[in-house]
Amino acid sequence: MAKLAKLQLTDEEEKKYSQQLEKVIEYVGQLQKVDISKVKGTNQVTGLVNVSRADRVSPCTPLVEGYIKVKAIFGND
Amino acid sequence: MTKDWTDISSLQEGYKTGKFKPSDVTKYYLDRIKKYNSTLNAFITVTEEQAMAKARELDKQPYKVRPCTLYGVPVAFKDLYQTAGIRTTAGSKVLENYVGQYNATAVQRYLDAGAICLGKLNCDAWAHGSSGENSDFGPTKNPWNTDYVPGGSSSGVAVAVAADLCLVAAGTDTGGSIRCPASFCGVVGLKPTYGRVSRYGIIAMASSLDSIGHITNSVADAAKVLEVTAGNDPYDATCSTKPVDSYSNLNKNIKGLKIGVPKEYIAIDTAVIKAIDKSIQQLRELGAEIIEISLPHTPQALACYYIIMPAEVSSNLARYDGIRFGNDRSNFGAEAKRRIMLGTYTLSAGYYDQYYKTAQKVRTLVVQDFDQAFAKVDLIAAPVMPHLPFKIGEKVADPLSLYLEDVLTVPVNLAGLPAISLPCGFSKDILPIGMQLIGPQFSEKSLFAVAHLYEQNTSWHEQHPTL
Repeated sequence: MAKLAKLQLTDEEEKKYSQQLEKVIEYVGQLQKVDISKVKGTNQVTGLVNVSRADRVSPCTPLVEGYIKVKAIFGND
Repeated sequence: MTKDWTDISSLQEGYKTGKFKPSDVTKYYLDRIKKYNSTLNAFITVTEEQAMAKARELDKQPYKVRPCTLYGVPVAFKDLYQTAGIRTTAGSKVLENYVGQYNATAVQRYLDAGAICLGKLNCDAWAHGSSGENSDFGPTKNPWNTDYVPGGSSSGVAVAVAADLCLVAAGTDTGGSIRCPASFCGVVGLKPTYGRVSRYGIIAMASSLDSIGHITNSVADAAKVLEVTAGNDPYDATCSTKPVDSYSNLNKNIKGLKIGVPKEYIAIDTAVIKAIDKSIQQLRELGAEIIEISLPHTPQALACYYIIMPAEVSSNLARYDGIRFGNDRSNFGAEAKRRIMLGTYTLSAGYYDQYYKTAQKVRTLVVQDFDQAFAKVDLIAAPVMPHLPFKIGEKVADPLSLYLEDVLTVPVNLAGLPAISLPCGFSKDILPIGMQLIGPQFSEKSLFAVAHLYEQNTSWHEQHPTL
């Protein structure tokens, strides 16, 4: 797992974490007993779908001879 | 200078009458930080110069000229909130030297409303933890007794407010990270509805759970601050477009209001049980109808959280590769490493269905539990934490035992609900106890009103630790 997550562990860490994580995995494993045959998964709780900004025309800087005039990016020095 | 303000409105009253100026108040807090931060370790960075510069700027524009909601209010941000030109560490050595380019939306809104930033607050690294001990910058101490944890992950946030090192502090709540430290430090902690406040510019822990809130001395302050931070932000697509209520209008008659008490939300320490029972009795005396309800998937909600959260953590922390910014991955602390590996495991091919997908379905059941409860009651009242604050170091060796402490806070995050933690008593050793009120999504206005009424009829929030 550590390799997959691009983490380098010392031997000592590996031993400690595997013991600790085993306990956690065992604990979260209790979900296997819940009846979920009739439920759909929840990815998010906002109820929002297809969020996009309003498609509105906003004023542009004045055109000069058909070109958009912007501030200089590079200085003279 | 003697302090004769207790909240935002009395502070601003002082500004209005010319009793003191923003620079006097800022200096008062900076002096206290200098005096007490070495003991409490609440601040990682103190921005003394910038704070005084902003205060002097406000001195020249009196309240009468620039009457904004947080005029001259000294605030501090959990070190997860990106601040332009001020380092943001997330409490981790990985970002020890990281200085961001822009302000998080929430930070910008505080500043635009006239707040003065005093600095950045300590927290469990990447907001991982419920004790405040996981910070790579050292543990924060509980101001009521420095041998005890202040709660986490917004540890510095609660401590700074409780110890009067700032008036308002901004935090984040992914699984209880505002409510837990607020309850352990005896202050008011608000976790708004998911999407009520923009997450833009705040370092993500678990993106589908992160909620942006704050800790204050009073409910009225919490309401005022939410009026500033809440509201749509085009930079965060999960941020709601719902209009922001006038939260600070706190008048409400609660006669006939139905408050549910979930039978699964049981505290373990007797002191907590007694304090909660008494508070519920007080709510009844104030006119609420108390109804026992059931949230049957509460135990599974915790297991569900400890699959979904690490999965999102491992994805969000994948970007810290030491190439684009920050130090390399060997700088992650133990808790971050554990959560990254746990998340990588539950998302890996072969285990994805068994863990992650199952957890998503159980999350639906948790949401349905609350939906059914709110068909019967208006609000839910419950303890925040099953135990009193514990001693620093007591639970370090056994991460699972610490995870189990989150059982009463995480279901709210899974369902994206708003909740507020209120001081509701003390143990015999004078350690604070907190009660949470939970409402349906976007019910902050009525949460504030009920919380305010409770606060008006109790005096817990008026007690402060002696440092």
